[in-house]
Amino acid sequence: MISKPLLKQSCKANGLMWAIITFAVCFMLVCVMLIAGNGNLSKTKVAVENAMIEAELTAQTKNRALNYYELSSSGLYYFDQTFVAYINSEEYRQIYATDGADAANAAAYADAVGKLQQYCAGVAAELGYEADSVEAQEVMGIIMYVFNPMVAENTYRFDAFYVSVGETAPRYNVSGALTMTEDERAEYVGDYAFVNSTIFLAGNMVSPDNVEKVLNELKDYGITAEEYAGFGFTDYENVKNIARTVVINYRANLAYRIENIKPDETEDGIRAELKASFTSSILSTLPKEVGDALEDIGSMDLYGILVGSIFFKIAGLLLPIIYMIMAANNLIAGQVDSGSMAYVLSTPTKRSTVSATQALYLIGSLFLMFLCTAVCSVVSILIVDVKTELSVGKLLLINLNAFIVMFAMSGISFLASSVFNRSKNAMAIGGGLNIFFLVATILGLFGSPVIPSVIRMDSLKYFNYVSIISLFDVMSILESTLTFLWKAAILIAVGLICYCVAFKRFKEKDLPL
Amino acid sequence: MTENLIEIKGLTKDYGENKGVFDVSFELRRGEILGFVGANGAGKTTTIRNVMGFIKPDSGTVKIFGKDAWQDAEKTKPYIGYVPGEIAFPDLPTGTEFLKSQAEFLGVKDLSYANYITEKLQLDPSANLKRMSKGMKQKTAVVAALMSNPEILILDEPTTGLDPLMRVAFLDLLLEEKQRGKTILISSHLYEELEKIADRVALIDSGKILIVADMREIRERKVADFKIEFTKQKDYEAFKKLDYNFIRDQKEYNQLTVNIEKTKIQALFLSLKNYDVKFISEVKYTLEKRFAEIIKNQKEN
Repeated sequence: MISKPLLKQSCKANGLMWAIITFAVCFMLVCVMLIAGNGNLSKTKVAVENAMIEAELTAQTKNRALNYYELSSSGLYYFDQTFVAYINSEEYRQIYATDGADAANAAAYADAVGKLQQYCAGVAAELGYEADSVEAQEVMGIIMYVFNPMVAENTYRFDAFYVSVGETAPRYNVSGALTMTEDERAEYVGDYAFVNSTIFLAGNMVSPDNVEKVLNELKDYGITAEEYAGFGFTDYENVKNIARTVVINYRANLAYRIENIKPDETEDGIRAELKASFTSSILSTLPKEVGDALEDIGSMDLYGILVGSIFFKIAGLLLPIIYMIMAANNLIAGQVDSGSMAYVLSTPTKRSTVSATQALYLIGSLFLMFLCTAVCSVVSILIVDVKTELSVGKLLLINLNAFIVMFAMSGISFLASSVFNRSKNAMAIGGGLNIFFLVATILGLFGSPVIPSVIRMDSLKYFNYVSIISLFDVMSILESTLTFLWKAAILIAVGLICYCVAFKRFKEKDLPL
Repeated sequence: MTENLIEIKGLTKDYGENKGVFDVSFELRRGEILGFVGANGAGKTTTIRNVMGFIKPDSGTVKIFGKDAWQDAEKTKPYIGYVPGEIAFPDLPTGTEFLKSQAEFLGVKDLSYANYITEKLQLDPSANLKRMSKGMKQKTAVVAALMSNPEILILDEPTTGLDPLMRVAFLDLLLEEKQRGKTILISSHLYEELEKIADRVALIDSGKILIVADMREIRERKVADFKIEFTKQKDYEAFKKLDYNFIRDQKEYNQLTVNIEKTKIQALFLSLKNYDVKFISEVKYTLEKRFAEIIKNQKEN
């Protein structure tokens, strides 16, 4: 079946070319994988990603600021109401009569504070938080910290916190609830809630515990502590400014909208609408296409795409294709054209043996070539430290699949080499077709989802439909789906058919030797 | 009894436009050298390709030791050593490498015979295959064809590109191989070299075998032709009246060509004593002449 001397001859004739091309491909591959893996793969991608995260964090902060403001101001209103209600109650009058004004006021204060705590629990329950859950405690904390209740004569519960962030501890003007007009009081409560809820928010956000918690959550997005600090979320004044700006805007807009309220609007509706508009993230404010594009870039596995789609489907295939075209031509058509095949066929060597031996050499040399790239790529991926979906297993699959593509393409070249007696014709058909596939793949790449939508040219995707290399589904391997399996099966079938037809043709044709 | 090693019967391979070979039949007998002559494009190479099983005949058969040259191509090869018309070697560095590789293909383990031929042809096979001169390549190809000591040698225009001295050495080698019992089919477009070595010569023209001539008929011819020029016209006129078979008469030069049985040459010379002869020379009877005669006869009939 196989002629040893012929195999030796083919190795000697094409071995040097094989070695040079294999070395070049492996060298390129290692360079691509190491350089791309160790350097900053894409500054733009990182910048876009970070900008989106920063915008998202800012939006969240604004959202919290408004929530804190709303919660605390409504808490204060409630306090005022319960306090005034107590003053007007029978119980107050009795204490006033027996123990004097101070004791009565103290009782009113204590009662209102107690009810405020119950109110907090109620709000938390209304928001769907379980009692004593972290969120419920947070709700309670917001209102109570802002309120800063007096626990004894001249002793206020949360003074220490305000001092620690360098602010004066607030004293809630309780008696104002009785003396001020309704408008004055509303303004006072609003201002008080505004100033102190933002202080609480800023102080809370920059606390080391909270920073650590946030960094833990952001670790998955590749955000380092330095980058986080760069966003300004560890800077107390900065966070306070963000919070105050949004609350001021919110209050001013809210006042204006409520003053000019339209018949079909409700106060709650306006609040929700304003809150949404002030806290929207960057992506939701952009036109949909731009937003999608940015999200696209941000979520891309650039390294996987670079190694898988760009290297193994295009750059890394170019040299093996050139080798394959030349070798396939040398193995049959070249020898028939020059006449040197006569020396083989004038010995007792069957034509079918010649075909089988040359095919074995071609397929075997390609297999060895991709074995080398597989080894190089696995070593490279183990060396580099890069965030990618590309694993050793996937890399091996990609290498195997690249070999299968080459098997199918070599079948085409080998068939052309077996059909034509003239080297130039075999080259033109077998080589031309394969180069066409490669060029179509390059053009098609610019229209494929691999390319970020910003620079993608959708019309170019049609080139993918005319290239056999499109059946090499790198994305499927990267995304761990199984589509690549049936595509690889088609490639194998194409290769087998081509080789079989080539064997038959070479056995039966006239040779001009 | 003569044994036919190669038998070609009714071989036709039509390439269209009168190219190819048509109903070619001849045989190669054991121990002979069969010359195969014809102009370029007459069909020599097409016939040889059929014998080598490189192309499939449209009709007719080629049998080598009774085996079909196309169907059982690889089974006929152990009997055949082949030197192709166009020498193109496989992509190997040196002649030595090529010969070694060829020995492997042929299953030849003992290279002493190959070395003998190499020396005989004064060939240095260690030279780079690509830089070899035409002659060296030819010699290398001959060594490759001879090294397995096959019974039949098929040579397609083997002497083209060889210098005259080398050509003589090569033809000597063929005669020597014949002595060793080889049967040889050699094609050429040169009549002279076939005349020297061939036992029979087949003439092919426009794809058809016109004649297979036995060289003994030429070498052992009973008659000879002499061309005689006379100094004086008077002598020329007088001699012309004698009873000889004049086959050519060139009056302007006073020349006469006489066809005469070899036994009567003595008498001719004696009679010439009486005339003033400027020169006398024997006109060689060549293969070319023989073919011209035959073709002429065929046309007349």
